[in-house]
Amino acid sequence: MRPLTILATLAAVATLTACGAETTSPPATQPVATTQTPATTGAPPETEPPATTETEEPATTAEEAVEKETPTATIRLENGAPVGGAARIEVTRGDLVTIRIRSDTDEQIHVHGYDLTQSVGPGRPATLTFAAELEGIFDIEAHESGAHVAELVVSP
Amino acid sequence: MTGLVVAHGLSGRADLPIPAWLVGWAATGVLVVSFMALAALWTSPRLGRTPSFRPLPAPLSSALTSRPVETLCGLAGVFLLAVLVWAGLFGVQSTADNAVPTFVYVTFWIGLVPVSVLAGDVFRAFNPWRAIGRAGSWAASRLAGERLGSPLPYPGRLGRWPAVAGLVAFAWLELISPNGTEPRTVAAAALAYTAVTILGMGVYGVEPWLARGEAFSAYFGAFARFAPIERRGRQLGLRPPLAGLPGLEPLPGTVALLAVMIGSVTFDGFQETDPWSSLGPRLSSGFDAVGASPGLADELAAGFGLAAAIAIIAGFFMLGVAGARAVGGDTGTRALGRLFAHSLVPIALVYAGAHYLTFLLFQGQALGRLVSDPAGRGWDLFGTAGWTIDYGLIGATTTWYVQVSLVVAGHLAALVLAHDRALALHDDPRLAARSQRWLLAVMVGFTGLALWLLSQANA
Repeated sequence: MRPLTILATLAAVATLTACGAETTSPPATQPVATTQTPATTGAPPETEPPATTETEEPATTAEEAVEKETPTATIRLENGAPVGGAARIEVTRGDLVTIRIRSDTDEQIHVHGYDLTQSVGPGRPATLTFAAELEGIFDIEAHESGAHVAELVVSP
Repeated sequence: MTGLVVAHGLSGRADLPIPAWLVGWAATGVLVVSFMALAALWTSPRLGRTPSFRPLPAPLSSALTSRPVETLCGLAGVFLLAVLVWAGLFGVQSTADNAVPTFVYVTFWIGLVPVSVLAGDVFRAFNPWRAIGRAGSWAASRLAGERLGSPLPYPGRLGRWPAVAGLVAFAWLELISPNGTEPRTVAAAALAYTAVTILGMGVYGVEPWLARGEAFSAYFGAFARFAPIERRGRQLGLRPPLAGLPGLEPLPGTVALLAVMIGSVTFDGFQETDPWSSLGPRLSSGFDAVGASPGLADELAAGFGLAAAIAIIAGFFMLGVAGARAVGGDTGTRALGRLFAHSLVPIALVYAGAHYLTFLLFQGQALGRLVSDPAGRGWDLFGTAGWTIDYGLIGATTTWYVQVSLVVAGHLAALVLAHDRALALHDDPRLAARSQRWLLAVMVGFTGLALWLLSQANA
């Protein structure tokens, strides 16, 4: 039954976070692999490379540093509809975002929330460049066809 | 993309899903604090029996409840209703440029909720149908030359069921009907609802119908029980927190009313989740196969979803009540459900609050532009027609903390209310505590569902 599953997941989540509490409390120090090491692959006792599961934090910061440059998305419209369906453009707040659009028909591209509008047409590709300063999920639409072109996801 | 029509055509910014770690902490918090609350801090009933009431200064009370003020508020309500019907029927038929969809679904339906919680039953003062009903009965009494009673007494078994039907119809219009955000449709629905309400008031009397049968009075009236301000006759006064909620009359249909309030928000949230995006189209093609047109099949699928959400909420709550009843006592399960129904009001409040917080904060700003040009005719009545929405008003992180705190606080309030009612019903505090284990499970389940929905939005 549904309520039971919810209760079960809830209990699971609660215990998970209770375990996670230890790792979150010392934030400044190097992530110590105390909780995770016994579980990972088991076999070699004294390997040098740290447990891969624990390196989540440095990994994301490195990725962020790369992404901070300029996340770029390219969208192609045929008959006012995006080829391959509506894309999801995921960026971090503060990123300088570049969206390139090509279209085989005349279109008005509108980014909701940021209220940016740009016209495109055959042989006239458009480039929208802006700093993603608003958090949330924003629709990008083609106003002539009314098609949902993409979704801009700005995380904190 | 194919799929069901998402009727919420008003939003410009959607929320980011709440991250899993925050949900985990909140759930843990609820579990720990609620077990502690049950543990024996609260061993005798404190709410409801003799609610304390501190009167406000008499001149203030009598000014606010005076006849001229009441009449003016009523007239304002009727005027607003008339403007909306006019703008809806004769204004530009655009969801964004006509004031009707934003006013009805954002300002009225969502915006009036925090106002009711803070300031009391404001809707009752401005209720256009109440004003129309009172004016009608005054005129009829003058014509007849005597005070007229209502033709029929309000049937006890009818309870709140007409209000339940009204709220289901409103939820259908808002969440499911493909034309629900069209100004003309909203105006027509308002006219139809006005006719139904006048009929109800005419047959059963103005106050009996408003107290039980009228959907929006039931909706805002339930939330107004949170307000620190209470009205007794022509006297206004202050009451302690939560003290107004045990006064919710346990009429037939009360559990259904709250299940609709919680279930419609649940369904609105569920529509954005992955399970629904695979289930919805499948249901829809099922209805398609038995002969419904594609549009109708989509509506039926969503209608099925809405009905299922309401039924699951009501069923889960009644399951908890049945468990609580197993402890002992001679009250039937249905009657016991009504006695505990008031504990669902905070849950309904935080479901709506967490779900519609940013919708209200962002789309609510559009009202500034729309009041200057309600029918979309290029007017600028108050010089605000150029206002735009500031989407930077509240960031994603703040939104998450507010949503999670609301959900947790609401369920704790629900727990307190249910616990207090159990103490009032059972003389033995230990027996009351034992009966509350079941309702604790229900509350934790509702918390989990609310947090899951918020963590799934657009995931």
